[in-house]
Parts: sequence; C-alpha cells; structure tokens
Amino acid sequence: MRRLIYAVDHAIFAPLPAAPLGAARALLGLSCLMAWSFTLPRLGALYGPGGAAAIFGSPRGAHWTEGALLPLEIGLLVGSLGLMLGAWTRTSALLLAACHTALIGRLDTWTWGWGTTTPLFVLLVAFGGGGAAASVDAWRAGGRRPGAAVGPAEISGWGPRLLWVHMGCIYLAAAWHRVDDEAWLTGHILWEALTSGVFSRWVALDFTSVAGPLRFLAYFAWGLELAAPLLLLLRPTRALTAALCIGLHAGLEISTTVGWWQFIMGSCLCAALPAELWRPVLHRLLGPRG
Amino acid sequence: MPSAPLPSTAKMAARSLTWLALAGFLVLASVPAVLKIPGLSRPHAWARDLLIEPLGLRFSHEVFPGLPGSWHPHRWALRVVAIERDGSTRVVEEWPEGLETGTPWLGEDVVDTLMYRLLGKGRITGPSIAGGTDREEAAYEAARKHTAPRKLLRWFCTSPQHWQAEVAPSGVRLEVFTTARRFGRRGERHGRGTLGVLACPAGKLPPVVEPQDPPSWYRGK
Repeated sequence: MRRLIYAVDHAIFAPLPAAPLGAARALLGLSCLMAWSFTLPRLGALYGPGGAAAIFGSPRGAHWTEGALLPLEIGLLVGSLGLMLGAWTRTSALLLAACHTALIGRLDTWTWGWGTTTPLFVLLVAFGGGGAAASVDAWRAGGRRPGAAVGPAEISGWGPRLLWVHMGCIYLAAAWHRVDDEAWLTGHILWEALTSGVFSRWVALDFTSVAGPLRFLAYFAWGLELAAPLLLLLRPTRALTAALCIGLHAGLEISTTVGWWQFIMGSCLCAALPAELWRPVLHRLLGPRG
Repeated sequence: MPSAPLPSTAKMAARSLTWLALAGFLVLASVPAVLKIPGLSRPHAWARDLLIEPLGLRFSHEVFPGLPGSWHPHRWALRVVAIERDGSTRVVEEWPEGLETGTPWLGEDVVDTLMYRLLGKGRITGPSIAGGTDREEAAYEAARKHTAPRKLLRWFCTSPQHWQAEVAPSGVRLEVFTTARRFGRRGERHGRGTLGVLACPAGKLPPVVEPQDPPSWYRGK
C-alpha cells in the first residue's frame, strides 16, 4: 500500500520544468489582454444597457454588469496584464476569471466556447505554478536580483499535469461530440466551414479543387483530437502532440473566425512543449545582462 | 545539493487523492458524453441506427427539421424556376440525377453550389432575373464573362438571410434571392423572390406542371 501511494504521488507530483508553464501563462495573459482590448470599444454595444446581451443574451446572466462596465473592463485588463507579467499571478487570475465570468455569462453563445472555458484555463495555469517562472513574482521571490525573473528550474508537476488532463478533456469532448455529425463522419466539415459565410475568413474563394486534401485534413484533425487526451499525458508523445495541436489551432485561426479559442488553446499547449525550447528564450529575455 | 525530504505517507495519500478528485471533476464536468458511451465500435452506424433515429434526434446541422429521415443524400435533384419581371415563370435548369454538393443536407452550401453552377453556365443572367438593379445586372454579366469568374461568382452566392425554404411532400422548396449584396448594397431588396428551387433526392423530381394558381414560393413574394 505504501508503495502504491508513493507511486501515485510520484506520478502526479514529480517535478517538471518551470519554463513551459511560465511561458504558457505569459501567452495566455497576452491572449486575454488582446481579447479584452479589442472588445473595449464595443463594450457598451455588447454588454451595456440595450446592448446585444440585453437583447439576445442569457436571461440568467448577471444584469448588474450593465451598470458596471468600466470597473469590469478595468478588472479584465488589469487581470490580463497581471497574468501576462506574472505579477501577483493568483490574485490577477482570480480578478480576470471573476470579471470574465460576470460579463461572458450574459452572452456566452457569441463566444464560440472560449468565453465559458477561459476562466478555468486561467485558474489552472495560475494556481498550478504558472507564476513561478518568467514572472514578476519570480523576480520578487528571487530578491529582485537581475535575472531572477527567469525563476526556478523546476516546479511541482501537479499543475501542468492537471492542465493536460483538462486539455485532454476538452479534446475528447470535442471529438466525441462529432461522432453523430454527418459532416465530420463524411469528412466534409472543412469544406463546409470554409465555404460558410458564418465561419470562413475566405468565403469568396472556391475550395472545390482542394476538396480531397480538405477531407484528409478533417479526418487528421479529428484523429488528433481523439488521440490527444492520451498522447498529451505520455512523455514520449507529449511534445509532438502539442506541436501538432498548435498547428491545428493556427490553421483554424488562419481559415476561420471563431473568436479567441485558438489563442487560448495554443497558449496552454505551450506548457507541453519541451523546456529546452523555452529556457533559452527566457534567459535571453529575462536573464542577467552582460 | 540535498533533496527535499519526502512527505509522510498520509500527506502523500491526501494530496494525491485531492489531485485525483480535481482531475475527476474536470473529466466529469467536461466530458459528460463519454460517460454514456455503451460501445465505440462503428460509431457512425451506432450513432445513427441506435440513437439518432429511434430517439427522433437529428443531426445538429440539419437545416430542415421536417425532412424525411432518409433524405440526406449527397446528390440533390434540383429544378430551378425563374420568376420573370412580368410575374411569369419558366424552368431555367434541371438536374434530375442530382447535383453533387459538399454536404448531405440541404443548406447554405447547396444554394451556394447551385448559384455558382447556374451563373457559371450562363443559365441565369441579370436581365432574366426580377429584382436586380441595372448595376447589379451589369455586375453579374461582368462577373460571368470576365476576370476571376469563380471568385467573383461566389461573391454572388446567397447567404442564409437571402433564401428561405419550406418542406413539402414533393421536396424542399426554396426561394433564392440573387441580389448582389457585396456589389449592389441593395439589402432592402432581398424580400423579392427571384428563383424558385425544388430540391429532392436524386431521381425523384416530379414532372413539370405549370400551376394555374402558383403557390407563394413559386411566384415569389
């Protein structure tokens, strides 16, 4: 029994490199900052009195937010900036998640899924150790010495592993949801999405000549989503799976307009890329000069 | 450098259980569908035969809820009827054996494909279509005859707000409004029907019968 407990504990808490989760946190904060900065000029039209949320939004939403748009927007921007910089990371994440939920809850159907799922990603990354590296918090913890912002080499592995479980759940839910969807079963989904006036960035182009490759890509993407939950958890396949998934999201971002979902997933997938990729970047950006 | 001392067994068990509970919560919250999987073999057949049809559920992208269950062909037989300026009608084009479309349900892409092929073959042109302005008709002609025809023609394809449909025993009847929204900026004219389209599974087009009292979809609004 003692051995079993030790083995389970080791599988969950064995240290992992700190740099990938730190980089993922910074990119996730940047994505949120971009998302809410772009929303800023339209905040009244979306969430203000008589705005889209009042007309089309969920009746269960927090309608008090109509009168608190400015504080909420400030909270969103400050929280995003804090998450990006890793400054008071957990407090920033809580602020961002709370303000985000209050606003998005009124108009969640307009966000293509990123609206409802982002707060959990933010909390998992921040509370799972994302603020330990590449952050103001690391600089403060390191006595404010030059280069201290790079942070420790390793953190407890429970945070990144929980994040991978969550990402696996997202992919599995997405992939299973498609087994009764004719467009996915027949491989026509990309053709349909690219010619749809709702989703496509390139609706004016004719994709008939590339219908075959699009079909292959559709099955490849579906297969990747089905396999990712397992492959992200296994060390030998983790980095390659993350890279393929990042490519998948980049391709979706280039070809379709579905909000900030690709940025959120792409940022979090960076936590599964090898530390050897991030360490030189962090040392160059944040390491001691000279 | 000395390594940190291991926590006690009780502490390891407690924190492991806490983590497993969190992960389990994520799984339960994120993947409710997974819990209902009775088997994963042949998911297509399983989903359609055992779940969707017996329970009366429909594919999420199905456009016309009233369609018979078997009407999801990849080839839609189509008959296109133009409504002239004087209100008379004429059959413009027929595909009795079916027009292959990207998806097996009748939706926006079917209308896109249809309009693209009609315009590309020159079977409908500006002057024959009611409701278009001179500028729009000129744009149609330019797009059909000249540069980058595919790209331009797709710009004339309708989008969902530009067509409507009703399900009838003989097929799906659509009114397609061919106003050139990107060139003509004439959104206010979309309410005028221009083409009537009868769509049904390949090989099942009924014979042409000129109606004495055309229904609204046939006349246009």
